Amino acid sequence: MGKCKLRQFIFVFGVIFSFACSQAPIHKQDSKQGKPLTIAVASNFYLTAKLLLATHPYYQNVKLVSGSSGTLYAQAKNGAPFDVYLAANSYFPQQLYKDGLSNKPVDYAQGKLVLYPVATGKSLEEILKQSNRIAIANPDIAPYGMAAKQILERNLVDNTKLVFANNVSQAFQFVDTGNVDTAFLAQSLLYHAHQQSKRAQYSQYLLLPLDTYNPIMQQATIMLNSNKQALAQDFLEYLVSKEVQEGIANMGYLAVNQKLDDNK
Amino acid sequence: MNLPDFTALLLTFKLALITVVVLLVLGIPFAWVISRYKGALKPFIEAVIALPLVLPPTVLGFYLLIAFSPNSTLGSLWITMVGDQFVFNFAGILIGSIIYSTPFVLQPLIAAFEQQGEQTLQTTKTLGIPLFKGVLIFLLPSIKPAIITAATLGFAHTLGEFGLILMIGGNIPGETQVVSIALFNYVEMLDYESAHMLAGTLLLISFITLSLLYKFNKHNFRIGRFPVSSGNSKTGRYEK
Repeated sequence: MGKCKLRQFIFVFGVIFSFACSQAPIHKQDSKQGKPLTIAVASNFYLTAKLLLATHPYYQNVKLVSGSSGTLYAQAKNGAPFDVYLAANSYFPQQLYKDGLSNKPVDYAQGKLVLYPVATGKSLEEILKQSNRIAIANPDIAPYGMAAKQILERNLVDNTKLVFANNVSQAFQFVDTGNVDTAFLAQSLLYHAHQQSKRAQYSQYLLLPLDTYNPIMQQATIMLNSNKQALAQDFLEYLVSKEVQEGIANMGYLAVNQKLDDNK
Repeated sequence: MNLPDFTALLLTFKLALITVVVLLVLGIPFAWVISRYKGALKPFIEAVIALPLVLPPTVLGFYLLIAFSPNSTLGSLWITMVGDQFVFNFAGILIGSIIYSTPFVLQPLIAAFEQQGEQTLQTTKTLGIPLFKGVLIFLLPSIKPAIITAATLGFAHTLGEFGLILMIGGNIPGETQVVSIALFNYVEMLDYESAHMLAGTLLLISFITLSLLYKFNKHNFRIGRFPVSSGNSKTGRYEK
């Protein structure tokens, strides 16, 4: 009896398994320029990088590895096969440079901090006073969280109101699911949320003045152990080119050559 | 070890302890009922019990975040009942841990009841002992090793819980910042020294606790050897 049942089970499982396998998509592995670049990118810049690469014929095969800047740093330091590292701050790339593992880092974007959601006409002080729960990215590990903390401290916000998300994406989840009233986010995140859903609510935010927090300078660096130095250098030049910088200025970042008072 | 680490350790053990106590109090009667039940729905009930093993903890956390949002029915009901929001406080991560550790506690219990329940009850019945008394005095002591295994698994599993609490905790020291979260923060901050210290302490304390448990539970089914409920029910009485 048991044997018969077991056979039946194996048969059913086998059928399901082979069906699942036959449905799996077949990935095309062809790449016209030999092996593609592997780029480790901080999660806040991931969607932007994806958009940038998708519009560029040369870089369509680039492999993007997304994660928090700290995780990617730890991976890069321990020999992960990254060619380029795009961080969400300047601290981690500078650290890699100091460790003697990468080239000199360059600025490639500047982050813009926003408060969300904010109905038109409301001020920062009003919103902070009215909110019961405010989500910020963890200031110890996330650059946008550190910036948010500076603003909160200046406005003497009660610390018990604060909820610490792992990163701005999680702060967004907290506010988007209605679990907190307000969150400090990256403008780029709301840009992508708006692009994907086309919901008007994602454009109801308050852009915080750039002189109220330390600049969130995102830096990129080329790993020394990469065997595609020239290709990586080309990519970095493309990233800081006028064309790309104008593009990311529309996606919630500040182009790196822009001045402080150009903030719109 | 600094004070925040100590707070996180204490919170973690508190969470694991309460989770296990709640799961045992609710789980033992429930496992008993399930082991006696022989209806058509049994495989489905067992599957539901095993489901938290399948879903990645972060995904489970994300759904809790949605389900208990103050805008949702469940979330507003929770606020009326408890007076506070579900997420970002201890009660929230406790419920999360209970769901997350359910299979680890229930499966050894169900398996033990299925193995020993019938026989023990037959014996007590022949002796004319009432059912309730038979369960309490004879059956429960006879499955003591399984209860200890269930408690140990639930406890250890909750100690290492990470993804779920990362999603619904909000990283509040003393309230939701458990050791795994504190550890993760250290690693992200590149403070590897503190991370090693905390990880070492957690491992050491857990090792001592588990060793003691196993020492006092001589006839245990050890981790990895406890009968998995689905397999057990297939070969057990349920097919008769």
